[in-house]
Amino acid sequence: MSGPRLVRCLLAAPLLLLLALPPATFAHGEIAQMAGIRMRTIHWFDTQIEPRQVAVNEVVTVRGRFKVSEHWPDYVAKPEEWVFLNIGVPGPTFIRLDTTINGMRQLQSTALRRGEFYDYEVKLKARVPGIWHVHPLVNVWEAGPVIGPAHFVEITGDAAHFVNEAVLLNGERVEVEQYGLRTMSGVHLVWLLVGLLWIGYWFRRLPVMMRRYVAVQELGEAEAERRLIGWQDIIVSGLFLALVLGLTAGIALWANARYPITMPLQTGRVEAPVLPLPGALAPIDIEIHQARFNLPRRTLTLDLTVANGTETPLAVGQFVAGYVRFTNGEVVEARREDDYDMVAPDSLSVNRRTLAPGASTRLTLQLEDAIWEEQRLVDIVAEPDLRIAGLLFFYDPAGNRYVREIGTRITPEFSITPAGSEQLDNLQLVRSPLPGMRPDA
Amino acid sequence: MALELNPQADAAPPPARPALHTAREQWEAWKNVDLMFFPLIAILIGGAAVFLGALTIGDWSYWQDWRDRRWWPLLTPLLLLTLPAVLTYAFWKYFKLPVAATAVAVGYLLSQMISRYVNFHLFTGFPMNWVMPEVWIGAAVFLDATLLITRSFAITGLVGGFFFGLLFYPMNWPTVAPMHMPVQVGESVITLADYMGFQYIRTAMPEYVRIIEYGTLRTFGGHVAPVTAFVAGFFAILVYYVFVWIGSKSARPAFMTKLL
Repeated sequence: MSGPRLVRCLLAAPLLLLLALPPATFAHGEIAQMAGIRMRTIHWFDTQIEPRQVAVNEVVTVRGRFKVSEHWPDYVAKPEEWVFLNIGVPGPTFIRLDTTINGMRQLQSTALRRGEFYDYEVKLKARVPGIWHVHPLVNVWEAGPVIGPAHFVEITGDAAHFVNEAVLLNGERVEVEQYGLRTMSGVHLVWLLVGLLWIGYWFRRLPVMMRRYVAVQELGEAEAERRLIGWQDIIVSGLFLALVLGLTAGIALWANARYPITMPLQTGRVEAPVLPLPGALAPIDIEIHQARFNLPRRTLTLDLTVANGTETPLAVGQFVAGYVRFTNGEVVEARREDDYDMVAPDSLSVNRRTLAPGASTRLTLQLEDAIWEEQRLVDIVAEPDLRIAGLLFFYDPAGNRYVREIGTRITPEFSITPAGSEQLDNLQLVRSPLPGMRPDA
Repeated sequence: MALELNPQADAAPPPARPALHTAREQWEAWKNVDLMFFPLIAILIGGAAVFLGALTIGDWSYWQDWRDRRWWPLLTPLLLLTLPAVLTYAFWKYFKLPVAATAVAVGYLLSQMISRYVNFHLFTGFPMNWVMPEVWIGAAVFLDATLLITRSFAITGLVGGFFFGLLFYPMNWPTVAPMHMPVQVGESVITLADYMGFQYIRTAMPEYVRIIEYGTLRTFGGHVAPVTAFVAGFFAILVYYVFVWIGSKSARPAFMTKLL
């Protein structure tokens, strides 16, 4: 094999390899968003995305709950204006059939109140085969999307078999993706023909451009106009003017006859009702004394006092910040379903197993896991507002759940041991494997 | 390889006469200029118009649920008129050819159809009826024909520019009317365009982002579209004058010399 040919083969090999590889599915860029925004805007929990494998035309339901944080950052637009419960998928791989927030259908935008809990349900119909990462998300006007937890859903089958029918108000059953397409294409073709006829008239006898250019240069503009533009041109132009006016009026009138009842685009805002979350009124008060985030250990330590005003002992089972869950393995069972799953099982440890009823108990919570790094929440220490928020879940022996939001400033620690002891190279530590860090982190 | 087979080729004498020797040959060469230059410029400026449209019109052009009665028929023709007005000056000044606006409009439609089909339909999966581009070839022909008849930029702006803005909405009505058919979804009645906007997920395009008739006082009752079309016509006159003036400045040989 000659040298140049060998070089060409070597250059082509990676391209061929790339084409031969099966299509990969990547997650979205949710971790690119500021950690402070993710942890202080919407807290997502009880998220269910089922089923995980469907055929084209089958329905997937995304349901769950979220709390709009009381600690919403001042530098982010507020959710009481305009928000929209959306779905984060790569394009219209699903279509959305229905959305409800606290039981209210939400075809259009809504408003959410800070401090309130909301139940939501979104029904999706599978459209494009593939493996897709499906998130719930809330778009906030002038702020952008606040993304929720995700799971992969596999769609099997053939996209060509996808069906999306709708019944118009006049009773006509239509295939949504085809409706009006012939009319639109026909109108485009008619006008394209008119344009080509006009250009064709001027270029009917070649050469045109150079001949006219030379004429203008040699005769001057006025004389060139007189010689180059004849009565036939003026008559034809007049006919084209009439044709354009007639055709515009004609096809507009035809469209009015074909589509006699139309209405303007609709806009508006539907306010979702506020419903109390079970257990929300239980008398549990939390006072935070200190919150420290240790960067090399990826550990948040919360020092707080919980006043349990209920008549039953409670255990701390879970902490939810944004879309990330830290669970206490002694209370809540959890497992990671895939490498992108946003749960950290057994990552929450508490120095007291139960909180006695009617008593105030000083607690130290430690949330230690590589998920801080995986989800790039460690960046909280580099943000302009060193503050976090999250939901603390308490459980009683009967299995009842009580949810409280906490929010506080944090003190960052840049060494493994407390301040004053040996200072460590932070960058080196971040890149070194630590206990609990997974290989894919 | 061919040189190796014919070692005499390097020694071949230069042509004994120029390439264009007779009037007939020059005539044929000029024909080739038309056949090559005009289609090329139509495609190039059509593509440039698509690019300009993406920067300035954007979502109003992309999605059917953005094509309201107020902003779409006002902003779209005004922004689409800019490039034809600039090029019209050069085509009229140097060639006395009233085809610039039509060439841009035809190139724009063809380029947009390719873009919508490949990018929006094949690559991202949106239905074609949801992302069909607008058509304005008729308005461009009207502009060109007016210039030919009047041979005056001033009158062309007044008549052709006005009709360019005015005709845009009725010219496109057949392409949006199907999408304005009402559909009942639960307790709400919305248009098919609204329904498709809800169904076909655009992660970063929530419903509230659309500027739907924002700020109108409804002085003319329900006749928002005709009033907007007339307003677009009046503004189009001004846009035409401004951009023909820009065309006159940019088409000067001195300007081109400096540029190059």
